[in-house]
Amino acid sequence: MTSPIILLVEDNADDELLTLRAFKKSNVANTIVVVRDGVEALEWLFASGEHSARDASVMPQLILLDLKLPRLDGLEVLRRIRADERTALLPIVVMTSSKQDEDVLKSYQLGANSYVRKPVEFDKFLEAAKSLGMYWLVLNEPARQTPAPKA
Amino acid sequence: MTTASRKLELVAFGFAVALLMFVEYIGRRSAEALVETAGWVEHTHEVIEELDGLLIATVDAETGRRGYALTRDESLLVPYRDAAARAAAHQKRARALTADNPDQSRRLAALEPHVDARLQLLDKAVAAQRAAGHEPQRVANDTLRGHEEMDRVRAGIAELVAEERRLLAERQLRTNQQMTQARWIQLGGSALGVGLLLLVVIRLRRAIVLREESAQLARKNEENLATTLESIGDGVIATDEDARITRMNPVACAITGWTLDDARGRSIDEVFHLVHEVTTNDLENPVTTALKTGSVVEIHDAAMLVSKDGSKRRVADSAAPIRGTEGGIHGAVLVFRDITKTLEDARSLRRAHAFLDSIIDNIPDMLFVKDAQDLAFVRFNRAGEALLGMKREELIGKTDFAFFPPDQAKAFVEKDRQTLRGKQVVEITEEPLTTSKGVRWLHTKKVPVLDERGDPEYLLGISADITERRLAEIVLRASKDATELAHRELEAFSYSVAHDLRAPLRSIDGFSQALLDDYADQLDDQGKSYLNRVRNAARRMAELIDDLLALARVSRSELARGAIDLSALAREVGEIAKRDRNPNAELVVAEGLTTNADPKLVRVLLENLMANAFKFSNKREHARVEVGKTVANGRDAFFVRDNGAGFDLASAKKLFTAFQRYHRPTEYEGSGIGLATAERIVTRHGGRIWAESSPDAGATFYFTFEASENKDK
Repeated sequence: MTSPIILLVEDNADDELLTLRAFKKSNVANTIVVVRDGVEALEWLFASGEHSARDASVMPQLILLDLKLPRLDGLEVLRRIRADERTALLPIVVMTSSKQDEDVLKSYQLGANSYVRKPVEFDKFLEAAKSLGMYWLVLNEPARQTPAPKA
Repeated sequence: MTTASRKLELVAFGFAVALLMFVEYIGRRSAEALVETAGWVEHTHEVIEELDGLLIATVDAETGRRGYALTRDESLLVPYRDAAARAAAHQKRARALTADNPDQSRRLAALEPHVDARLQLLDKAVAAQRAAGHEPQRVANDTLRGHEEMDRVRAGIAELVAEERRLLAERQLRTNQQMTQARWIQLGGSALGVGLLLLVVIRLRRAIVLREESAQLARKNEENLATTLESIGDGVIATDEDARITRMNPVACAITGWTLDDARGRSIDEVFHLVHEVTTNDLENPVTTALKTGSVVEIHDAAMLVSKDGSKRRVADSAAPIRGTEGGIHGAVLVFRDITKTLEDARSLRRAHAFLDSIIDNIPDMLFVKDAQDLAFVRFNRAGEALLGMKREELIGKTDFAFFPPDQAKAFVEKDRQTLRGKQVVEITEEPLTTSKGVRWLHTKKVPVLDERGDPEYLLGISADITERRLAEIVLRASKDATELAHRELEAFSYSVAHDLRAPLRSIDGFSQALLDDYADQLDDQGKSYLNRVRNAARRMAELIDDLLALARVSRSELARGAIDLSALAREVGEIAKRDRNPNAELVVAEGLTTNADPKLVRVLLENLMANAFKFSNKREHARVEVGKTVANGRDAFFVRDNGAGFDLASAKKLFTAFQRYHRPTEYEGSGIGLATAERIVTRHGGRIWAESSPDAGATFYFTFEASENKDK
C-alpha cells in the first residue's frame, strides 16, 4: 500500500503544479491525487463514473478543495461530502484565491475543517503548505472509520 | 239642559201662574158673588121691610081712622096722618129699591093706586066723620070700598114680597151653585197647583242633584285638568279674557321663573315677556293676539323669553283662544317649551355635520357613496369631482353606466356587489378609470355600510389616484431592476476578480520563484533582479486587487451597527500593521474608546488608517502612532496620529479620492485606495473624516461615526 492520500481538487493547472511543488519542497511524501472539477472529485471519492474501478474503501487523509470549480462548485462538493456518511468525517481544507466573507462563512457552515487563502507570493504559499502538511498529516488524529462495505 | 225642555218648563211655569191667577179670580168672583148675594138678601129684606112698612103704615092709618071714628078724639088722627106720611115714604123708597126690576116696578106701580085709593078713602071718611057726625050708610059704603082697597093692597104687597122672596131664593140658589162651582174650581186649581208645585220640587231636586253631580264632575275635571297640566312636559299658561293669568303648570313656572302664586292675576305680558332674538325689541304676545283675533297664534320664530331673573331662552309653540260652548272667548291658553337646548343641539349637530362634510369634502382621495340597492351615487366629494372632471350634481342619482365605458362600469359594479354580498372591505389595488382627462389608475377600497339590522345600506368607496405613483413605481422598478442587475453583475465581477485575477499573479510569482530556485545557477544578478521585479509587481497587483475588493465590499454591504471596544480593536489591528510595516514603531492606544458602528467596517477603517500611519512614519527614528479621542472642530472625534512624513494639505485636496496618491510610489508603496475606502466607511455611518498635516510634521486623521456624536455625549 502506498502512503496516505491527499486529494487535491484543483482546476487550474498552474496552481496544481505550484501546490505539488510546494508540498514536495515541504517534504510531504504523501500520494497526491489530483481531480480537476467538482464532479470528478465526487466520482473519485465514491468510486463512480470515471473512477468506478477505484477501490472505494481507500479514502484520502486530507482533501484540499478549491471553491471555484467547473461543473460543480467547491461549496456543493463540500455539502455532498458532508452529506454522505462514508466521507462525512474526512478532513477538508478549503484552499482558494478569495477571502470573501461569504465564501469563508459558507465553507465553515458546510463543515470545512479549515479555510486557507492561496497567497500570491510563493514563499507564503510554501509556508502554508508546510503548515498544512505538518498539522493535518502529522499532528491531527483523524477519526478512524470502519471501511464501508463495498457496493 | 236643552232649549226644548227649557221652553217646556217655561210653558209649564206660565201655565201654573195662569192657573193660580184663575183660581184666585174664581175665589174672588165667588167672594164677590157672596157679597152680592148678601147685598141682594139685604136688598130683598129692605124691599120687604119697606113693603111691610107700607102695609103697616096703611094698617096704622086705618087703625088711627077707626080710633078717631070711635072716639072722635082728634089726638088719634096724629098717628093716622103720620102713618099716611110713612106709607108715602115707604112707597117712595120701595120704588127706588125696585127701580132695577121692571116686573117689581110694574107691580109696585100697580099697587100704588090701591094704596093711594085706600088712603084717600080713609081721608074722606075722616073728613066726613068730622063734619057730620054719623052718616053710617055712606060710611058703610066707603068702608066696603076701603076694605076692598085694603085687600088689594095686602094682596099687592104680598105679591111683591113673594116675588122678592122668590128672587132672593133664586139668587141664593144661584149663589150656592156658584159657590159649589167655585169650590170645585178652587179645589181643582189647588190640586193642580200642588201638582205643579210637586213637579217643580221634583225638578228642583233633580236640578240640585244634577248640579251637585256636575259640580263633582267639575271638581273631578278640575283635578284631572290640574294633574294633566302638572304632568304636561310643555309649559302651559291659561289666562282669562283680559289676558290675566289664571293657571300655570310647573314647567311654565320653571321656564318663566315665576311661581303661580306670584303670577296669578298678572298680565301675560309681564310673566311671558317676549323679545326679538336679534333686535331685542318687544314682540307682541301671542296670547294677546289670540284673544284679539280668536285664532291660534304661533310664537314668533325669533322669540326669546325673558324670564323673571332676566335670563333669555328660546321658546316655541302657540297660543289659542279658549271658547265657551256658545263660542265666546273666555280666555287663552299658551303652550310653549324651552327650545334653547334643542336649538343648541341642532346647531351643534349642524356644526358636526358641517365638520364631517368638510372633512369628507377635503379628503384628497376620491370618496363616493352609492345606494346599496341600485348602486346610484348618493354622495361625492371634491377630489372625486376633480378626478372625474364632473360636478356632483351630474353624478348624484346615476350609476357607473352613465359615465364610464360599459366594460369598466361592469367591473366596478361587480366589485360593488361583491363588497355588499360579502359585507367585507374589498380592496382593488389597481383599476383603470376613464375620465375626460384620460385613463387614471386608482387604488380603491370599497366598504359596505350596514344598517342597524346588518343589511347593506350603502357602499362607501375611497379611491386614491395612483396614476403618478404607478408611473413612478414603474420607473423605479425598472431602475431598481437595473440597479439590481448592476449590483449582481458587480457581485459576480467582484467574485470573479477575487478568484480569477489572483490566480495568474500566483503563477507569475510562483514560477518566477521556481526559476530563482531551480535555475539560479543559470541566471546572472541582472536576471535575478528582473525576476524579483516581476515578483514585486505581482505582489503589488495582488494588494491592489485586495484593496479594490475591500472598497467594493464597503460600498455594498449592509450596515450592521453594534457596540465596539475601539481601544481593543485599534490595539489588535495596530499590532498587525506595526509588525508588517514598522516593527520598531511605538503604538499608543487610549483606554476606554467605545463607539457604535459596524465592527467589520471599522476594522477595515482602522486597518487602512493605521497601515498608513506606520507606513509613512517608518523613516523616523522614533516612529510613534497614536489612537485616541479628542474634541476637534467642535465635536468629539477619534483620531489616528503619526509623526511621519506628513503632507501639504493644500495640495492634498483629492486625498480621499481613489487612486490619488500624494507620495511617489518609489517613496511609499500603496494603491491609493485606502483613504477612499476609509472615507466611504465613515460616510456610510453618517460621520465625517478629515486630516491635519503639514510636510514632515506627521499627519492626524480625525473621524466620527455619526453627525450628532458630540450632542449625545
